[in-house]
Amino acid sequence: MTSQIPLWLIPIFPLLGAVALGVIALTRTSFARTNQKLPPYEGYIGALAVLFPLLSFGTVCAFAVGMPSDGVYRETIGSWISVGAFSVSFGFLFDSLTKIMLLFVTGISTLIVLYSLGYMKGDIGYARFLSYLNLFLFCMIVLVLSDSLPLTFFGWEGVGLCSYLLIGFWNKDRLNCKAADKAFLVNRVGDVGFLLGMFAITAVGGTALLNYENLNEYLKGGFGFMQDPLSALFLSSAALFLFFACTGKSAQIPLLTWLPDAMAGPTPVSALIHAATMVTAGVYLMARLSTLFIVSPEVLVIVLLIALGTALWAAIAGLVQHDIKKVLAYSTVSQLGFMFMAVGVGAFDVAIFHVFTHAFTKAALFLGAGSVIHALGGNQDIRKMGGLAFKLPSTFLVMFIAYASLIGLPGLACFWSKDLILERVYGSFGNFGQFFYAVALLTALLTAVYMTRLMVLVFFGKFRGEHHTAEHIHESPAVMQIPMWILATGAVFAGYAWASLIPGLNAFQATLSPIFGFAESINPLLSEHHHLSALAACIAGCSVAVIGLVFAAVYFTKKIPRYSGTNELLGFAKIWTFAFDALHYAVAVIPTKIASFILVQINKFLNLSVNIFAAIPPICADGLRAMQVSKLRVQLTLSILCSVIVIYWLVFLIG
Amino acid sequence: MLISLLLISPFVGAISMLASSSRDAKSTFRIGLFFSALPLVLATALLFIGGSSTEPVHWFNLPGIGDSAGIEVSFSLFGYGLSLWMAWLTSLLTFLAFAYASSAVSFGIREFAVAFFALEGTIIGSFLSAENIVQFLFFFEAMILPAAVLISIHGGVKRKFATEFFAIYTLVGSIPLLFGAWYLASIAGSSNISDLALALSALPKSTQIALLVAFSIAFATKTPLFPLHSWQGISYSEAPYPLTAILSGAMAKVGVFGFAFWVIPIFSHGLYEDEWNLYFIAIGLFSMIYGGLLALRQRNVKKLLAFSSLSHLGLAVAGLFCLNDEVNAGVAVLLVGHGLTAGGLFLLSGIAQKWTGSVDIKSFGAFATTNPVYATIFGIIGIAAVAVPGTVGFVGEFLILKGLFNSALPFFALIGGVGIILSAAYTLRLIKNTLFGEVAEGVCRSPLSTLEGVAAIPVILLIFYFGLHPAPILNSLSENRTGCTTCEYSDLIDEDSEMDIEEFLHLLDSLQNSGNDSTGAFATDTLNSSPPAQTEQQEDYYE
Repeated sequence: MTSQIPLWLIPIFPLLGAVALGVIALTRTSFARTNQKLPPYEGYIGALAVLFPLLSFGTVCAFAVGMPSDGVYRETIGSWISVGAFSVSFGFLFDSLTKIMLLFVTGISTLIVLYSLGYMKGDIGYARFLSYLNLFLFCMIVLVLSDSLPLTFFGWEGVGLCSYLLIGFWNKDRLNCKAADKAFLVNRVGDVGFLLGMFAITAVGGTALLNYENLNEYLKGGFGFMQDPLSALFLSSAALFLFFACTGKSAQIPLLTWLPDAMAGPTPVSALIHAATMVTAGVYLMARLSTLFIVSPEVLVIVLLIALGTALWAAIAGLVQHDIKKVLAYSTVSQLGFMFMAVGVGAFDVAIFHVFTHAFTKAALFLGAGSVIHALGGNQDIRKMGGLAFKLPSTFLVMFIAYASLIGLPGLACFWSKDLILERVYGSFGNFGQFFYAVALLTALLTAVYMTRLMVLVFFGKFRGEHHTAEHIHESPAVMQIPMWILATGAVFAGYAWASLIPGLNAFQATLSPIFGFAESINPLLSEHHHLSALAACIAGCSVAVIGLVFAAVYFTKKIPRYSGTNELLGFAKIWTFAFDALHYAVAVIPTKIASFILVQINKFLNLSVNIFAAIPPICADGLRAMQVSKLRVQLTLSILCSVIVIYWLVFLIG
Repeated sequence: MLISLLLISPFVGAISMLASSSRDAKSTFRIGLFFSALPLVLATALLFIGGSSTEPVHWFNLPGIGDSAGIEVSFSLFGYGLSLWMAWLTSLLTFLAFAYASSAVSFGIREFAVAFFALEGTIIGSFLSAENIVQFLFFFEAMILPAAVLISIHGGVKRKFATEFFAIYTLVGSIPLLFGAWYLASIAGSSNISDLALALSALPKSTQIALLVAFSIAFATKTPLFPLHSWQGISYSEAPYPLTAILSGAMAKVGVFGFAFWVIPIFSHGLYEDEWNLYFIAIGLFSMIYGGLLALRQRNVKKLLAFSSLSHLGLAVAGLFCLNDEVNAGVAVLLVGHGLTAGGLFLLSGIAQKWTGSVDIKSFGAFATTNPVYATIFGIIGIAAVAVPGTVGFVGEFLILKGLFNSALPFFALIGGVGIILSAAYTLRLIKNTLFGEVAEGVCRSPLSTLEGVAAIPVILLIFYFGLHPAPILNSLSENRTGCTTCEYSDLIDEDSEMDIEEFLHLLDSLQNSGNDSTGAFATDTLNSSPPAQTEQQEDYYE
């Protein structure tokens, strides 16, 4: 299927934007350095920065509008790495999964770039920041639009790089740079998994299988390869390696520690990269490889267990945080856990649906949080907030809508997707399904508790901050308000793309069925006898949300945590939150340090031994010199003797 | 014709520089810049016409055993594939490094240029010597002299010690190669590579191993590989930074080149049949991890980059000994990429050293705020050193790791993976300490000079160009490698893979319990990455 517009237009716009803004940023900072004053072009720069994502969004819409439900656009723009039998090209694939991902990725990006114009106003790195955002969008589009694993990896590391640049954006503080380094390195560990996964796939059937469509065809082609133990082993290990890569990018156990630290970046970055788009790349990848994962059910079991563990762990960690952005970060980790739960039971379309609804909801929450931080002049500690509902009514309303959606109050976006996940978890893995369901339900309850705690501490009660900040509290400008309200609207209505209780409203599922139809038809995890009706799931989901809400509202209105004079977490909160940091430390950091210490000693020893060896000739030479200089006759005799030997050797032995 | 000019032009430059003024440093520098551009133009032109070579010309005779005629030594130049790319890289780096020399060299720019071009000429000479081992050895040994002179005159505080260490260590390191090559040539009665390989195959295993060790010690010293890297840290850190860029970016490649063009063709039989190559892969990977871990602890920026070179070239050697043409292509890309990134980083950190007057990375900092143009260039080249996809390093690392995964032990790929995690760790540490942080009092705010800034542009462009379109490098190898080196072992590869298929079928039979025979056979076909089966399959898919 071909179209009039080329697909490469979609990524090229943000790339152009990134380069243009990058050049502007460079000249601007050089200018600022000499004149100590910024030239007043923020308006033009801002317009430029929004224009490119908007053009990209428009292009995606143009593709999406005319596309039939099972339509696929393919395009290859050239060869990348091609040597011998190995060949990878720059190929794009636009199907319904790509369509949904790209629509919300480019749409939300445009909104958040717009928001950043207000949020970052006056910052010296204004143009640089917007350039990085455009570069991020380029990489994210490549990740989603690619038709093969290597090109996805291009986007995968590209978004990681942009994440690194943006977390460490305020680079005068080395702590921010540390958080950025950590994000990059933890992701790099996952990326090695990605590489190994790709190699394992090529070991089964050559380079051609790195292409998604070829891989699917190959796997659909029959289960014969499962009879071949070696191929089956390679395929399962490929699935496991790729899932490991996803745990890095999507912050699951064991590679989840970087995401809370990533909150060191500016808030629009947290909203765009660390909530709505980049961190869901792992879910996208697994959905893209649905056929591979469905034929390796043993890997899916691991996925489900890890997802449940991550969701529960992060929900508990979210309960004890003081930093408004950290609460949301742990909430993101927990929600990503829900998405992986759906993947773990083979419900790929449900996972993507939750990615979709969560993107609006969490982006709105983060932008709201950004607005609060903006109003309070940089304070992020919720113990020093309170009573902001009437001072920031618009922000409050946005955050309240998104909050209600996130905890799953009926009718809002995340309610629909979360219910579907819970329902599917119940209906899988036979009797275990009920246990898993209970854990997931408990996590949903905790979600309601920590989110209500956040809302109560920020917006209700009395203001607990300093007086002079109280006087300056102001609502953010329109350029920030508009994106927030659009996202809040999304957080209300996005769920009606697949409202399972209302017959006929399942456009989302219908769109994705050509992609996941095969995987779902052979899903070995579905259990015959256990099935939860949609209505029962809905009632159970709603009631835990309401129970959590009421409990937390009552409890945290009475018991407001006092500001203890430090931002450090203490006691249980600290142990629980940093458990995985400690684990990383013990497993990776300390052994590395010990190994490098030992190797430094070995290196010293090597240098020393070379020097000792080198000291022998001078010592001998000194001895000989003592003999040679003083006694002329001996010297003469030795010279003659040696010459004779050399001449003899040359003449008679070599000839 | 062009290729002879390429070899002669650096020496012409060196001699012509003698005629320039020793007083007027500025004009001398400009003349030097012209002469450093000359080989680059020639090498680029050669790349565009696809390379060339010259017919062997009789040079002189070596005394041999018994036979009175002795061993004939001929002189010929070979400029295709890896040889030509490395020669081009050398000329490019020399040009760039010389552009940075005006700020690095405070006195005697004329003498600096003379030695610098002589060094360039000898390195290019050794890359273009692929047929006669005596000719190769001539250049291989000769390059030590100008490098030592440069360190001893323009080096840092401990330059005298560094010169001695560098010259003696590398000279002693190549003695085993001299003896081994002479022994082998005297048996073969010729010093041409094909005769050497033939003579070697007649020798007993133990002698072969002894010779392999002798050859490898020399090249492992030059690369360097663990444990023969002791000269590297002190030489790199004491040398003036344009020279360090050449030492790491070009001279170290001679070692890898030696493995590729001399060790592998001559010892191909033993490397394949007796799997001696696994030891080399292990040494290469150990060097990679070793260099990475040491770089993590270094505070001296030049030593940090020296160990990072050790790490990257260790991976290159490991890839080379996968003995696979796909991986060899990856090694070539990695070498070009490493030349660009390591060369660039050495030059840029030299600038930082000049600004702060220290080589300690803790004394750097905040260049992102004070010198944004410098920081942007440094950042891009640094990220390229991490081998993010889209930059040239990724193509090389990807192909090499894939080769390691397909080698006898897939476990090697995991070690390589650990190595690339380490490379990210130390490079990010370098970037963080150099570019970021609070601006200190009294920090130098002088900008990068125009020449230095402009000289960095081609490096950045090439990093992205080869990262997105490595075909020029990859294709040049697949077309022309048969010209010299792979002829000896290309036959062996086929035998080898056929044997593997038989073995594998046997294995499969024993493992398969029951079921679909046809699909089993399909999987068998696809599992062995034999090219014809694969292309067929690929075509099937595209239909």
